[in-house]
Amino acid sequence: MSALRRLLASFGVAIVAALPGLAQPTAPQAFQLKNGLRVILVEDHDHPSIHLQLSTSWPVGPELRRKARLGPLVLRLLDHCPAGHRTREAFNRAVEERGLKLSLSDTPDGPTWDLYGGSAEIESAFGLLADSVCRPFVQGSDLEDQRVRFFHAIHTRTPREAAQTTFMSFLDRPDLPTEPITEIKLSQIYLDDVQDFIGETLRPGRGVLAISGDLNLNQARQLVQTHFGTWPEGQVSAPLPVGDALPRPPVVSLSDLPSTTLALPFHPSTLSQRASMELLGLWLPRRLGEERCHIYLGAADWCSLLLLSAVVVPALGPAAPTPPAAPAEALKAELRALRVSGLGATDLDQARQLWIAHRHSLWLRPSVRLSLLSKEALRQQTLDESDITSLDLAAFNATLLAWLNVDGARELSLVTQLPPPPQISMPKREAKSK
Amino acid sequence: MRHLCLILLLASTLVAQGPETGERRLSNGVRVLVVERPSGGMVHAALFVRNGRGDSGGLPSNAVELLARSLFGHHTAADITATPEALVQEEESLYQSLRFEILQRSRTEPGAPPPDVATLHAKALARLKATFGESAALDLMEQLGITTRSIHTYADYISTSVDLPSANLEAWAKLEAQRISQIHLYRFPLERERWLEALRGVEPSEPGLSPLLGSAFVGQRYSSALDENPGAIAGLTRGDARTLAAHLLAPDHLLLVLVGDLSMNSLFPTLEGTFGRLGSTTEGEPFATDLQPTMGALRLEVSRSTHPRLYLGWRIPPASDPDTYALRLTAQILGHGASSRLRGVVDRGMADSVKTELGVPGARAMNLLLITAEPGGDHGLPELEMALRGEVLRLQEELVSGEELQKALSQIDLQQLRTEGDPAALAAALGSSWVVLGDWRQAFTQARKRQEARPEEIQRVARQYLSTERAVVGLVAPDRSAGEDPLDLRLAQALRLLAKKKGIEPAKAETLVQEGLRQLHLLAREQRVATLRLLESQPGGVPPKEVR
Repeated sequence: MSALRRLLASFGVAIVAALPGLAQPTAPQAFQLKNGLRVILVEDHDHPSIHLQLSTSWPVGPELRRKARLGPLVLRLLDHCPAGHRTREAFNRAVEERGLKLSLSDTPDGPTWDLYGGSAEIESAFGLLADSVCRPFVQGSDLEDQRVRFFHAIHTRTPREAAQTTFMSFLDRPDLPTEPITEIKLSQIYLDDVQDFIGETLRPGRGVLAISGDLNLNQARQLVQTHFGTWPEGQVSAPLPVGDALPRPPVVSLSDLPSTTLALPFHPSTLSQRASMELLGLWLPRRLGEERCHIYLGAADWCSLLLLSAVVVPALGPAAPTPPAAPAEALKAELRALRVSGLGATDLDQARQLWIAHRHSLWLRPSVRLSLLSKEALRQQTLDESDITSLDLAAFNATLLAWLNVDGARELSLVTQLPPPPQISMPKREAKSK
Repeated sequence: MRHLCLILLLASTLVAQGPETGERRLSNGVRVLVVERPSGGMVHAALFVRNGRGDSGGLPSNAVELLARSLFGHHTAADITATPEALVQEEESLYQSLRFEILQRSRTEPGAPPPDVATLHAKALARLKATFGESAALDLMEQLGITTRSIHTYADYISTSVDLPSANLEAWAKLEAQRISQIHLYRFPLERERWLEALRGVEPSEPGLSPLLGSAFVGQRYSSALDENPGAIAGLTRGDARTLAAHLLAPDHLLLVLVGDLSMNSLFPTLEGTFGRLGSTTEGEPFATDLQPTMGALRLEVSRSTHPRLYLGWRIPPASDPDTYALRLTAQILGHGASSRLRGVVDRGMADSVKTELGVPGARAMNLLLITAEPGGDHGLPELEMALRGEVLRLQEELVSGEELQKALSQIDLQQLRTEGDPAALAAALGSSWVVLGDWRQAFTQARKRQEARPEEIQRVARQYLSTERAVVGLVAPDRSAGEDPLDLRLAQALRLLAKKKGIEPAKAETLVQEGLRQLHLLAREQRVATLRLLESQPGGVPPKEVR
């Protein structure tokens, strides 16, 4: 390591000293409406633009199972149903004629709407976003239409796509069932279910509106109050829930690439120190190789370690590849050793620098920064630089010891193998003709 | 109409004119653009090479991609010394022996290559891996506090970029300039293996597009720009990549774009001492220029084991052409946005998805305006094609409304606004404009073109460019050989055997087999049965069976 440092010094690299002196970003401002909607504002007077991001969290407790059943269909409906007394076609036209762009995405925590535009259309931007979130109008015909399309999409996806969807939904929310959606299950969803679910989910108490743009706090307060102040009140959202027990993971197999992806989801209760987790999330993949592992944070901080152990089959090498399990086992052995040894002071320092650099680099990614602020507000978990710098080595290694229990974690494998050799056989009807 | 003109005139005053950008040129010809803006002490640094996959000369276009991956990927202390040279040469030598053995055996006795050569090669690869290490902790670039890094290879250019603290920009410039000047490419064999591994058994993300481009742009720079042929990749050597680098990485072809917390004046001496010292590479003769473009309607059927897909494209002029802005508006009206015309085809259930793009695969030369669609429900490809063509015809026959034009203009303005606000997107826009249009200023100076936009202009370009003689159609349908018809399976088997006997590379052979099957499908079934008997009667052919 000292040789590396000498080499870097020859390039004039200030390994540690470069970061603490960086200019501090402007602090975001926050306020809350009486109906419970939390609002974050990042003023940006350098660009004549506006970005609104509204995130809501899925229902909590027993409602989670309902979410698993209804969530995917409801998201499709929200993206296609009439909004604010306009047909969907007229609504989309109204958005685009004003030079705005609206999109709805499904995140592990809940649905998120993003709306971009020029600052000349700020008023319209708030109005149209409010129409989309607070005033969706779901009818039976929309439900039927989306039900048919959804089933078609499920029916036509390849085994690989189906497996990946299952795999990802498990990582996002390991405490939810991952049974595949079938035609029968889809047909048992009624309009009342959907409307109730939308009513439960889309409430101001569950939402966070993040704003970045050419406006000040007073303007933001006024616009938010005008357009979201009449949104019917809901319960003030609790922090996102934590599952009680680890579920049985699905097994996903494919005949395709020769590789194994192994996910080890860790229960949020083991993530006692969020700061430690964030540092590990950055440091560990760099230590072990990003091609071999990375950390995935799902909803409510379900934190999975993904071990990517592609089997090396030299393109022109011997016919028999290495058994898929071998690289995964080797990686697990390394993790076991790391858990016992813990990190050294230099490692922790390096991890801190990485974290700080990442936070500062968000200035170069304004949309990502807004999403992070929104997510932290939604989960009511905020980290700043002092949390990271004050973290001591013993606390860090204690978290590592609690979390990185490879042998205690449930495994989920996405196994892919070399395709079997083509089987060429004549069908029965030919045999009959002989 | 007068009302529309007034709207357009007013709106044009709101159009972004681009951020304040400083430009300097280093003594050796490398260009530098700097956009100073407060960014929390961070900077986005991007390097553009004005040559891409369309500039590979006589080599396959994959050579450019491999060069970029080997040169701009991970970089440890081992990459900047001469120590690994012997090891890399040993691997190259074994690799060539292995390829030769495999080719020889495929002609005589099919099977695995001799185990000794294969094992020796595998060991050499393992030693290379151990030397260069996978861990990012050893990466010199990572030690600079880099948070995001990317490498992209396009048809027109290569770009590599990082986000890092401004304080470490000087060190980054030293490292980056050093690896460009040395061009060791020690990682070439590892990158080649990695790519081949990733391609194994995977359908390309755009199945059928590469053959379509090959047919549409015969003899031109984009004819093989999207090829991902494993056989061609396996045939590339480190020597090829180094020769290519000498052609592509001349200082004159480099542009550095820096956005963030920095000052051009204080940075300039550093850049002059690093990138400014890059010597003129041993630039050979310029690569062959395009042949005269050919026109004429083109229709291609491609068999792939994926969902059916339709490509409907038209050959359009390079982005430097004065009609490009009108074509961009046309594409916007047709297929961009939730209320675009082609979105209606999706809403009606005719398609599951429709995507409209301009500049496929690049924009420096003649390229495609391309619609990619997947049929929805029980609708077939011909039905979908008719629906899409109907929308294009409507654009040619009827003037678009003022509102629709305004909507398209507003959406393009929004794209520019978002580009300007995001440092990485801004750097990409400036760099690609320099590469494609020869002038980075063109990224934001469209106010005049915007004022000239009229419905008649949209109709004119739709009639002129979206015409039958410029049309390129690709129909991608599930692989016929994967179907039920035993005759196709037997034909494919016989053709594969024939190709193997001729010593044709496996990947190339598969292309020939698929094309052969497609052409045989033009014949009556009896004729195909006769062809099969003929093929199977060749010495060493598959034992004939009765076929109906």
